[in-house]
Amino acid sequence: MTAAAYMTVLGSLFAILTGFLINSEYSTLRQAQNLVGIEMAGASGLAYASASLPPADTGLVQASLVRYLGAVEQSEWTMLENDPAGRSRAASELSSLSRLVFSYGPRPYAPSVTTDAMQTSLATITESRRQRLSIATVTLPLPLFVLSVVTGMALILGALIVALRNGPRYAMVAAGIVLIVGFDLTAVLAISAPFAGPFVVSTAPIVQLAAEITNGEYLSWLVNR
Amino acid sequence: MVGEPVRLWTGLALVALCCVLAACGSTQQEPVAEGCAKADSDCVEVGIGQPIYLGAFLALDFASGRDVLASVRLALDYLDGVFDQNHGQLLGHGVALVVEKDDCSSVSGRIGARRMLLEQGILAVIGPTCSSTAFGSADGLFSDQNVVLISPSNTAPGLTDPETHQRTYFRTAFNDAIQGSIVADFIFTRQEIATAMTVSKRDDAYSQELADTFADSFAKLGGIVQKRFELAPADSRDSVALALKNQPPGAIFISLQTPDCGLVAAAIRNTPELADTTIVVAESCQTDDFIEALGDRATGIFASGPDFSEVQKDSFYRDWYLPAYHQLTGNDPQGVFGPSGFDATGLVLDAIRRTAVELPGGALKFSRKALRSALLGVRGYAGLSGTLSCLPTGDCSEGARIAIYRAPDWPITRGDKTTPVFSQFKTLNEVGLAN
Repeated sequence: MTAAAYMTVLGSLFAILTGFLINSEYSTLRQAQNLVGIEMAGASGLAYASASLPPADTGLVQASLVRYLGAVEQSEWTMLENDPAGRSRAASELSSLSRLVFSYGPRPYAPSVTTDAMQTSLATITESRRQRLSIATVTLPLPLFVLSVVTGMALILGALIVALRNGPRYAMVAAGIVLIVGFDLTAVLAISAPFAGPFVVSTAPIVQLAAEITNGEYLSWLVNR
Repeated sequence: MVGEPVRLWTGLALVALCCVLAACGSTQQEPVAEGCAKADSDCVEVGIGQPIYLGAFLALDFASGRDVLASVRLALDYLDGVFDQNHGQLLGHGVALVVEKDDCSSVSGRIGARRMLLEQGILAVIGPTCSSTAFGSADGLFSDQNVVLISPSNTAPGLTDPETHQRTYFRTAFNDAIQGSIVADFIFTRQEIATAMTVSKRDDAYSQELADTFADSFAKLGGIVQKRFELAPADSRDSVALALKNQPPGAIFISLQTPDCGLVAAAIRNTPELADTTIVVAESCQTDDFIEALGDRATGIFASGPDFSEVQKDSFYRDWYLPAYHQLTGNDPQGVFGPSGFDATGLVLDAIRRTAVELPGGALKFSRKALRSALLGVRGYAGLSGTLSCLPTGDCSEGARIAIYRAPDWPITRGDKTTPVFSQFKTLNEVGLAN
């Protein structure tokens, strides 16, 4: 009876702790995904704005943007997974893109409306990338996770005691609790890093935008796209 | 009543299902590489560290050929966004230009094309300078190998006639059907001259077709084409003046290349009986050489060609391209097709960017068919020479503003101070070449 009473308390505590952790980590994952969306919106805006430049310049800006997107997709996720404080190829590509975009400011043939729009879009890309990198350095609150693990273990222990005392009929319940605790803790770990593990921020929007730009979707002089 | 174990297992199954669904949701879509999928003759592979090869098939003995070569180099220089006399990179690869000389004949078209085709990796060729080099010669050879040939200065209508057009042939130059029509308008309507004659070169596609289009347009307007003079290589350049002095026409339209047109024009000017005859030369004569050869006798001679007052309104051309051109060559543009050359190169570079398939490590693969299709998708490219849209017949300049300049006020001598005496914009539709 005592073990059963403890199980109610432990179960509630475990549910609250893991619920909080899952919610917190999932929010971080969603936030990181939203930042990718904002970054791609900026990239899309830059591609559109560059279409108002002479064609030779449009091609240059969009090619540079595609190189940046490719670097983000190919190297930044790996870097964020292994060494969030490191420097990926995307940083140097963004630097090249920035130099190119800002070089149009003083050029007499580039309309100021266009250069302003390009610089605004570039600022969006830069800001959202920096926020994305910051999120990658946020880690799971370890004390809370340890507390969850301890609570979970205690819950399993209680379930085993109940099962041993009350016969095989309760063994199924104990097994279920073991599974739930395992799933819960695994879920917490799985979503605890937005750029590592089985649940990571999707790169699909980046790949899609890079393909669209390469295919000429943002060029003003193409048909049959 | 459902038992406790059943509820428990149902709950666990739901949790597991949620995990599986969530995992599926995070699966990323792999991009599908389009273009050249297998190694066949249509494919060109550019290895890691290797350059992308482009060809330039140009008549370097002519101002227009040198002008286009400079503009092609400028377009490659601008790949890094600045004119610094260093070629930029394209898709992480350098661009190497293979230059072949065009001698303005079908023979040189065949020889030059075969030489260039020996370079297996050439993706596209800018040129040739002369229509006669392309027509029935280089255009067919390049087409047989699926190599895009895009000329900034070929104007002969036959090159883009659906009956004779070769499928990989394009041009950014205007079609002479437009030039011929506008010159006819100028002579008949503006100068109110009802009789004219043409001087062209026998067996020269450019020269003869331009004379043909002029004569057709002039006749349609109600004018009388008294004579069509076709110069053979053996003919004396004075023979035109000698043949006409007893029956002088109101105007003579000379569609010859330099130096022939200068020699013929000089002979006409030296003939007192033809003193009142209006002389109009085509854009191929609009060169410094012509003005220098005739000296004061050039004064009053009209020349047709692209309206540079339109081109010079373009800030990129005026403030960016021209200073770079001057820095590269040490002088101002000597011909009229420089902007078309820059545009032709720009179209090719754009098509290359859009059709490249990146291989692991940075190598590239191209499909020649895809490259051609990419050019055919161009509509409304705001080039230096005007707005370009590439039609299935190969014409990328759907319309052109052709101006008539009066010597010595020709754009090549007076630059942006030149004002044309007549200027007209016509589209291919307007001259009966609807597509």
